[in-house]
Amino acid sequence: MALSDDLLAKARRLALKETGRPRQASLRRAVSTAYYGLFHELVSTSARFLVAGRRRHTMREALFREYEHGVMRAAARAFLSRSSNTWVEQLEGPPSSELKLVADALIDLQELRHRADYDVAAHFDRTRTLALVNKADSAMHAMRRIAGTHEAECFLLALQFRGRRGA
Amino acid sequence: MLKDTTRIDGLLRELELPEWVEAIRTKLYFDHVGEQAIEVLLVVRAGNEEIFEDGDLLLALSVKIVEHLGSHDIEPWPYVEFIDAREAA
Repeated sequence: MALSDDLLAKARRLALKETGRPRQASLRRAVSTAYYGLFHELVSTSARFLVAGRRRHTMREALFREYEHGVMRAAARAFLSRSSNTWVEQLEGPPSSELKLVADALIDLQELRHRADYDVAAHFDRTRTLALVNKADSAMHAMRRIAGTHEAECFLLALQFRGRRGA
Repeated sequence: MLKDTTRIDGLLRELELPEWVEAIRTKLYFDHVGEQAIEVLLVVRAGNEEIFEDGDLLLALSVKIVEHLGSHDIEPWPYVEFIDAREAA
């Protein structure tokens, strides 16, 4: 099982950990873990695309550390809003609903992961937390479904290379 | 930088939202990277809770809002959330 699947399973367990009223700590960790599940899926897929080949795994591992949350967020926003950007311009048509799902989930989960980790006033309930875990799960599977397509490759490039606005 | 949500609210009213959307609540705030953002809460009418299971429908509506505001040069990013009427109360 891939690390991203493990993280999603862990997030779901955290959201359902207490049998009665859930603890905020469990729900917050579930949101954070769900984000990292999706993050890892995207980073590993992108790095495998950019540095292919079995013998290059050390190079790929080095590349993993080069992904920036902010660049990934900007990429997701550009694809979702179809703003003018080097990689969006490469698309041969409008983004598929799968790609929109991935972009939307990345943007939302990144924002909510930050609230979960740092905003002491934020409140999470179990229903909403599970919906977020499901959203990360759906996005991961959507990414796998479009793997190898031109639009997915444009997006995977955008996750690492910011691209120029107004390209 | 926007000072209030008046223009956003007007633009959202232009959209033909499904009948199961009871209300829209908007709020300006600064997101986790310090950029101005819009919280768009769509309140789902009681009795329509099955909507929460329909990810495609929710995504389509979120994207519609993002595209509509973007096409009118609204720069803050709209974070769209769906909540049920009980939670909104």
